[in-house]
Amino acid sequence: MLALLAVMLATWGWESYWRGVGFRPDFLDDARLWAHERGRASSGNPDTIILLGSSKLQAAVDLDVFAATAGGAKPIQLALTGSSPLPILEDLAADDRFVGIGVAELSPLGFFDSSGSSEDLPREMLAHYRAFRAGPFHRLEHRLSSLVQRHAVFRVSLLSPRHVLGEALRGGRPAVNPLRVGSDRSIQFQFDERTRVPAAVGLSALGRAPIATGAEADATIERLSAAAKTIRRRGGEVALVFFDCQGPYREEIQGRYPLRQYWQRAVDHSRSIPLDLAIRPELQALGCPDGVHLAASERATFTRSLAEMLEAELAPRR
Amino acid sequence: MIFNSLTFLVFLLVVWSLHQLPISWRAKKLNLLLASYLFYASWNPPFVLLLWISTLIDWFAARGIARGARWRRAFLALSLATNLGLLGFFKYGGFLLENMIGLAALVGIEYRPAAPSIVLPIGISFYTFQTLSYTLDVYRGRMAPWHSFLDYALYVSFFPQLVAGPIVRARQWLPQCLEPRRASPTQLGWGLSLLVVGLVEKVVLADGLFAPVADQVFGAPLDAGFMAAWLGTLAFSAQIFCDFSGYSLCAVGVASCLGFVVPDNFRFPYAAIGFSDFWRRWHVSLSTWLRDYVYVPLGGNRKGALRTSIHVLVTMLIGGFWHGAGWHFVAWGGIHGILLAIERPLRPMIRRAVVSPSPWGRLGIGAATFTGVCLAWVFFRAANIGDAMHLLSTMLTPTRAGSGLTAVDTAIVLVTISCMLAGQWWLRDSSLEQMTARTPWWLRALVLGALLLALLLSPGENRAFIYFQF
Repeated sequence: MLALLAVMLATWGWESYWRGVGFRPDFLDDARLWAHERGRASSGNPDTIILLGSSKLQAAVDLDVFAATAGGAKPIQLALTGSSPLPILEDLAADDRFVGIGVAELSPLGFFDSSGSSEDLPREMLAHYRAFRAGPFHRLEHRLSSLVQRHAVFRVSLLSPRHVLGEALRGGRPAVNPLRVGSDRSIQFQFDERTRVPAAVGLSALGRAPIATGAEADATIERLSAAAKTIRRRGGEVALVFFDCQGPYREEIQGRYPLRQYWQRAVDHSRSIPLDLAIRPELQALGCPDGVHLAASERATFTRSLAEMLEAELAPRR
Repeated sequence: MIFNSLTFLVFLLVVWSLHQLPISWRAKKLNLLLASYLFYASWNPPFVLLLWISTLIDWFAARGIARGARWRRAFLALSLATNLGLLGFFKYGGFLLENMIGLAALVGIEYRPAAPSIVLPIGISFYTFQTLSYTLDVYRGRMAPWHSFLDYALYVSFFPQLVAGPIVRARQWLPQCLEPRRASPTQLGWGLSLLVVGLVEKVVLADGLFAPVADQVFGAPLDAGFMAAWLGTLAFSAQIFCDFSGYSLCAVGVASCLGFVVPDNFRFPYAAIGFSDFWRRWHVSLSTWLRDYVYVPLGGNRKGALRTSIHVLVTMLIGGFWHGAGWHFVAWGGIHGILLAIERPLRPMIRRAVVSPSPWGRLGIGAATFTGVCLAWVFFRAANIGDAMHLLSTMLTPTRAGSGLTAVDTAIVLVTISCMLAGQWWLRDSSLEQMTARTPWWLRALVLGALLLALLLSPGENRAFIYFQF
């Protein structure tokens, strides 16, 4: 009992201290949250919109703004950091209960990565989803876990004993994460003057990436086409999104992955809906403090453009 | 439903509360049985059928075995075929098919069957071995078939140890069902303490501290240098111990909260002096199962030195294969078999070191044992034998290449592992209970409070217990 009382007091002290530093409750973007969202995709509802891709898309889309612009329910966010959308698109194609719209970010870095490592995390998430299918116990766990994460700063991952100890040994303390995760897996990069922005995140990743060419690229496009065809046969649709923040990263990527060779071929061959956001005038000067991820303040503009473009493409098909 | 989840805490509270009600002992056992089936169904409801099949077949098989000489072997064969058949299909089906395709390709036959989609039922390796031990003990005359189907069904499916052990022997567990079991305040306190310690091992240490380092190295084995390979291997050695021993402690603790006794599964294995000693301390319930039902029936040590070594090797190969459908698991088991065989003629030297007043001999052999165990873990964790061999050769080729980890992370991992090893050495001839009994109450409260705090503050990464894949 004494131990329990001491723990409660210590936890309250810990919570108060870190709230004073500026931390706020945050969600852990883990396999359980992903599996819960993936489970919602199998609803049999043709209006379900699934977002697939990397952290770029995860940061760029405000799900509430999307729902308000397009009308209808919020999209389901299944994008994963540094990942290709293909394994999840293939999983949705194999799922008879998915009859909605898959909106996949065609970022060449993930999609045409010949090392295959961009498919590791999606496969891990899918394996977890299959092993722990969203049954009643998992839904209960999700509710309980969300309740705690919604209110407790002490559950923020940057405040785990390991991170706090690590920072203390470096002579500092954990800094407030500019990246906030919502319960719907949306992420917001809240950059400000205090944020330590990693320089050229995208450029360094680009430098290391082995680019798929020739038969390898063809094989990837073939997989995309097969998945899109299966989804369309069930009454669903697949849309491919292309966008990049202005700056050296965009120049570099378009130099390495010529649009005609990669983006256009993927769209034409898979007969997916093209959503080339780079042509939208309001998005020409997207603000990406780290060169890759949109700042939270830009999300609404981007999301409205994306939703409007998608609705314009879908309207004639309905 | 895993132990480190809020749902399990709610589940345990409900089950424990029902267990305290003034109802008959039979009703309480029924409640525990239903709770256990619900616990198992939370993973994948249809697989409860497999649990029922194993339970029913072995219940009737044991009764058939005891009935008389004429059908004993047939009933034993039925039990073996059912349990090993279930295990073989669900766990090894894909592996066998892959190897058949490979063998066919070697002789120039192109064989491309449809890829099977077999989901591994959680805990199948554990409960099939548990029920097999019951029929085998009845067959060997070590116990009579139990009189109560309710008790037996509860023995097979008891939720604290259903999905990842310990593998409990019927003749130890079933007699506990004869009298009402209810945890005394001391038992309840001890059980909850073990649950906290087990969860800290799993969530804070295994998942939070060691797994990221191990995953970083084993995820890209071709990129790892000398330092990184050693750090990753040490981290995995610590991870698998904390993960599995943590789960076992949780199982013992939860059982204790309900008034049941489940045996310890780990006895400070990284303080082992020699590999035989290691296997008397690591996953004790499996190693004793293999000893009693594989090694001894093969002939044990009764047929001369060469045959003994062969029996040891076969037993360990089976042990390796039990862990996973992959040749790298078999290789891991084989390495331990070879180490045990090599150790046999060295036993007099090891015994002298153990009893010697000087600690250096014990420390030296202990360090050699720990190193051998770590090198074997490379095969266990690597994705395949090729990766394992590459990492091993990197570990045996000293270079100055950096570890790829930050100095702080390296320091945290090394210091924590050193403390873990030192703690195990300090307690190697003792037990957690004995250590706790010697500790003043205020220090116990302080330590428990600190552990509970560390647990609360660790958000976790939702990794299932490593041994759940078995």
